[in-house]
Amino acid sequence: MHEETFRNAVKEAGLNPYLLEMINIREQDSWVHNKQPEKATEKAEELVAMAVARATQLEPLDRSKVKANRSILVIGGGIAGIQTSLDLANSGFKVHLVEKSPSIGGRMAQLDKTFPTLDCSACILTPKMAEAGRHSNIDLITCAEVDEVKGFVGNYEARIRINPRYVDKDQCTGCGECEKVCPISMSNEFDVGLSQRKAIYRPFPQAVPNVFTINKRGIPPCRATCPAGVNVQGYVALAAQGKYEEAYELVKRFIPFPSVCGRVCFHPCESECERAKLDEPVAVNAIKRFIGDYGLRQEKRNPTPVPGKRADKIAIIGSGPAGLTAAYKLAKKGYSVTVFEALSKLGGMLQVGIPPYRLPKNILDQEIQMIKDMGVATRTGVTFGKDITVDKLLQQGYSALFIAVGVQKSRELAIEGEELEGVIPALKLLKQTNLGERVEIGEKVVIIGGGNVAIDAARTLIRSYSRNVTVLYRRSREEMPAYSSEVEEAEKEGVKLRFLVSPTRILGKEGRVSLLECVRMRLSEPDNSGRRRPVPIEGSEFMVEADTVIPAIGQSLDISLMPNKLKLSRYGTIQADPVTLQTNLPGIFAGGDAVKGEATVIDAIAQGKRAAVSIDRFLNDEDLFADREERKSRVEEIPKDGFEKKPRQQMPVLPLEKRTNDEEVELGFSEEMVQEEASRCLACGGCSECLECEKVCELENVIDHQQEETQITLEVGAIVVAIGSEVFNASLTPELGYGLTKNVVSNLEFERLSNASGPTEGKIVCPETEKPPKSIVFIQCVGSRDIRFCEYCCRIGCMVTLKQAILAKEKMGDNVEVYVCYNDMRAFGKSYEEFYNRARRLGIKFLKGLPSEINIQKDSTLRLDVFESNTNKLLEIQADLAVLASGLVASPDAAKLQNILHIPRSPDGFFLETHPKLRPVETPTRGIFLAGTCQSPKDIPDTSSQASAAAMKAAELLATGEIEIEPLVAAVDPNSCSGCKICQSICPYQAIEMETQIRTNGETPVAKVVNAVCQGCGACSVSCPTGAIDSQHYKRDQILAQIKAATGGK
Amino acid sequence: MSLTDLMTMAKTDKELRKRIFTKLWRAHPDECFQCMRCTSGCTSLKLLELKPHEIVLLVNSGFIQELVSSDIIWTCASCLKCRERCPQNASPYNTILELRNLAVEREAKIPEAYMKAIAQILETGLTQPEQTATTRDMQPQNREKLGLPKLPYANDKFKTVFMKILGG
Repeated sequence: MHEETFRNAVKEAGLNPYLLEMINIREQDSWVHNKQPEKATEKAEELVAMAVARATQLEPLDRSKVKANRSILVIGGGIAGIQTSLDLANSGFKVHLVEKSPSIGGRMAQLDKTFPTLDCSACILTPKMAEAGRHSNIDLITCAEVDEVKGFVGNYEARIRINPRYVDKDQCTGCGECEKVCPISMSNEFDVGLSQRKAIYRPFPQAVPNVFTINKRGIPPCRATCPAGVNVQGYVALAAQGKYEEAYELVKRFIPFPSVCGRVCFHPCESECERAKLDEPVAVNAIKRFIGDYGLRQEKRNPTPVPGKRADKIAIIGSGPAGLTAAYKLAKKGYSVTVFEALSKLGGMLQVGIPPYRLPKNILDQEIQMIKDMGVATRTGVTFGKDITVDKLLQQGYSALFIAVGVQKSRELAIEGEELEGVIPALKLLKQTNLGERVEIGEKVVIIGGGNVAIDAARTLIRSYSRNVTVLYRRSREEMPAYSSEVEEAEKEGVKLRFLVSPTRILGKEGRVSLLECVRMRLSEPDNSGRRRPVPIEGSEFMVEADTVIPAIGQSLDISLMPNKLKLSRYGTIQADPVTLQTNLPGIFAGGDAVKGEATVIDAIAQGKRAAVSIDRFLNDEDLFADREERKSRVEEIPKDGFEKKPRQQMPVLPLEKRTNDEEVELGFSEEMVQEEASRCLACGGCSECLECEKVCELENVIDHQQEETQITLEVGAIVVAIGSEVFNASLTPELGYGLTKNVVSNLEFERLSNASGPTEGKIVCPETEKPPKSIVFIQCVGSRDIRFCEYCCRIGCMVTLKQAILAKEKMGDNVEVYVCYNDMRAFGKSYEEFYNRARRLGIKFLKGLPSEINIQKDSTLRLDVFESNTNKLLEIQADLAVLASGLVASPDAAKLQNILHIPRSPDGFFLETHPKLRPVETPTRGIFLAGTCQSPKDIPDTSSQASAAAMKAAELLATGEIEIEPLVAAVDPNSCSGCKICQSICPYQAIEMETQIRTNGETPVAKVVNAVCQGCGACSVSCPTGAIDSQHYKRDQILAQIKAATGGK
Repeated sequence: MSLTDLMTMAKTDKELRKRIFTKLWRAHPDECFQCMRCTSGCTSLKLLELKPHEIVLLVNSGFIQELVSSDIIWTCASCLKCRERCPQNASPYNTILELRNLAVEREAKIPEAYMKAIAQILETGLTQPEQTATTRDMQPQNREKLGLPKLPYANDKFKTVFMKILGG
């Protein structure tokens, strides 16, 4: 600063301005040694001698000029960013205004009135927002963040990431129809969580740009876990709104079996439900069942629309869930599909494996009929491998095959006596019973196995055959693969369970089963399946009386029916690619249990869907592998604050005495229960992608749920940082009750409560009781002037409190008592003290002293003790509402931008200006300026002043389009440079480039300094091993001369 | 140059103030800006009229002798609320503790209960004698009845160490 003055003096005298050496006796000598004047004088003499020595060595230097880009990047669209942008745009500069959130406006848009004039915040802000939005020199970029900045003053290159809004902002008219139909409610950040908004939303009615945005957090855990990827959150949300028809259509977009799945799915979605971390998982499956049944009840349902028929014929072998799902999906695309089934009825295991008391046949038949109504041809009683073969089907003109024959062969016990009469595989029992045939069963039935088939067999037997049914399982109850609810119901119905028992031999009398020899087991180390391995206890054999033994230890693929050329896996299943499900034969796909081994219904459905996609691609000659997996990431954890515990609805069941083989045990939820249950969903993903918004949007392709983030690069000459700050999180001072009761609010929340456009339309109420408070207490310095949190004064708390206290008093008059507990009242600005006087005259009570804690009473009122120091009394305040003057803290984005822009922050986390008085809006990096509360907490008058100042500084810099560069930079002597690149690695400003120099001994890399980037710090020059790099004006000789003088010439 | 309390004619004591400050180590009474949070929440204020902010201010000003010989420093219940919630590093609790140390050193009167407690610790190693508690349904309970292990009692080595600490 002073140096500049003296340089000019030197220049005016006709000398080169860099032939100047200056020493600072005041700061480096007089001030620091003021107690030792004699020694200080000695030091001053030495300093002068050193300066003279160095001055003799100085060399004349010239300033160079670089071209500057006359556009400016403004980061942050609050009042500071808006003001800076408008000032610059009006001066003829091009401005890129980048805002992270969907609208500009920042904190000021949330405020009610502004102090000390009490004018309405929105009324004075929104005209500026609108102006910024339509100014021809302002390029407004919302939902965007700065990821990287390269370059130097006058020539910055900024990479901007534009996050998806999922709505085309240029086409959206802001009509708001989408918002009305959106089923997802989320916390409204504009109202600081005091109200709810939809997942498709506009932050506030005057938003700029005035368009909608969709809030997506990722794939919710339920949907991510579902093997078939069913949009669980979507249909639950629609059901919560009573939109069952829409919910039904949504489920049907994914799977053809809502009602079937709603009964028999093992619902992994519920195991992953986030709600379980709060209380219990949402009863997703029961909701789906209700939606499915609702869909079936709608009489005049038109068949799922099918586009124009396509010539390709597709054969699907097996009519289980995998085959039928593939048929459904392919028929939807217009293919001619024929389903072949070995049995007399369609449905596979759904038809013959699952007993009717779990899955009524009419439900299954109706859902199958809907698939048939889409034009899917079916042929029953046709066995693959016997009646039809791969070759025959291909000959008949089928272009693709999907083999989904399931696993039909019961595994054998491999023990003595298995051939005896009375040994009946469980699947045979179920199949025949479900097809209406009777099986010969004795009196004492023993079932072997612990899976769902074993339990299904047991419950079928006890219903239709025998009251004496025992299930033997070789491990313990915990390891049972059967669903625990089914096991419990079976026990209630009279099925006996015996654990840690394994059969060793079946004994017969006259060719019929008479006794079963068993051995007791114990559990040892876990095996591959993670379950503990059962080991027989030697000598523990015992006899069980039985005349019928039902093995239920699993099924396998009937290999004998498979064509020879089809490759099988080592597990005896069909080998198919896990991504495409294509077998070793092109065009022949396989899925379901035949590929995976015994799995669940939803797994089979998922495989059917996968096969359908592959077959469609196969027939269109498309890549089978590309883009098969969901690209969005799963939501891992969502905050559960503000959700109250609410128990899960319990499934009503048929009384025990009424249970028969055909009466469904689970009765399903009533509509009221579905409403209660669906409202428990936490909407983890934000937007549920139910696509209701797309349906009502009047314009085509405006809403795009698949939108992805984009990157743009901006070339600018200067950058103004105006990212603002955050309100101190008062829950860090739990003694004040913030977060424990809604009746303790932050000052920002109070703004929304008293704002006419806020959640209460400006009526001040206690959020907990929603009644107007009879007394309000304001607590000052929350988080501020407190070395536990922020050491600094927040500079706005006192005035915000005065304003809010006045607003409360003016709105509610004598109906409210207002107390302000303060430490020091700081009313320092223009008209501020007058404002304080106005507050006192309104009867607001000012108490000097802060409470230690706020106690929440049972009736949700508040009590606090305050030692009032002026009266020397301990006072108890009873209040209905407490407002905390929470201070301002640096934005979490400040740390990020610090690294991107290489600009320093002070210990409080705010950006550091170059000089607090003389260069208050500049950063040490030339061309980067600061505006607003990102530099330090400040009120609106100070913010807009600083914003205009920053605009002026940027304009000054770029006005001529050229920038003078100081010559105090490093310079390389190329002949001494060895090209070691040490300087390049050490330079903090990336100012060193390597270039190639041709020498006699060939090409060599040589360092080169980019003058415009170099800051002259000298780090390179001290690191250079050959002394090839030196700082201009601080050359070795110049410094050595100084040192020699300091050491008396030695 | 010093302050005089015109009610008692007491003068400030710079030496004592310096001593206390040196001993306090991490607490700094001079940082106190009299926000009153400590006194607003003081457990002993309501019962015994202890005003932590006043003690800190008096120590800070140098009026220390009157505190050392007062009963008031012995009424602190050591709940530590003042230390936890102090927005500065003033920590009234630590200041009170130093005043007590000073009182012991100067053989000022120490409340009888404290002497009893020390005797108890010296004898048994426990801060309180083992007690029989009564449940809501009037059942007397002790450690033995509850199946808890017996408490260890002080041995001679403990007593020697404890005496050494007391002796300074």
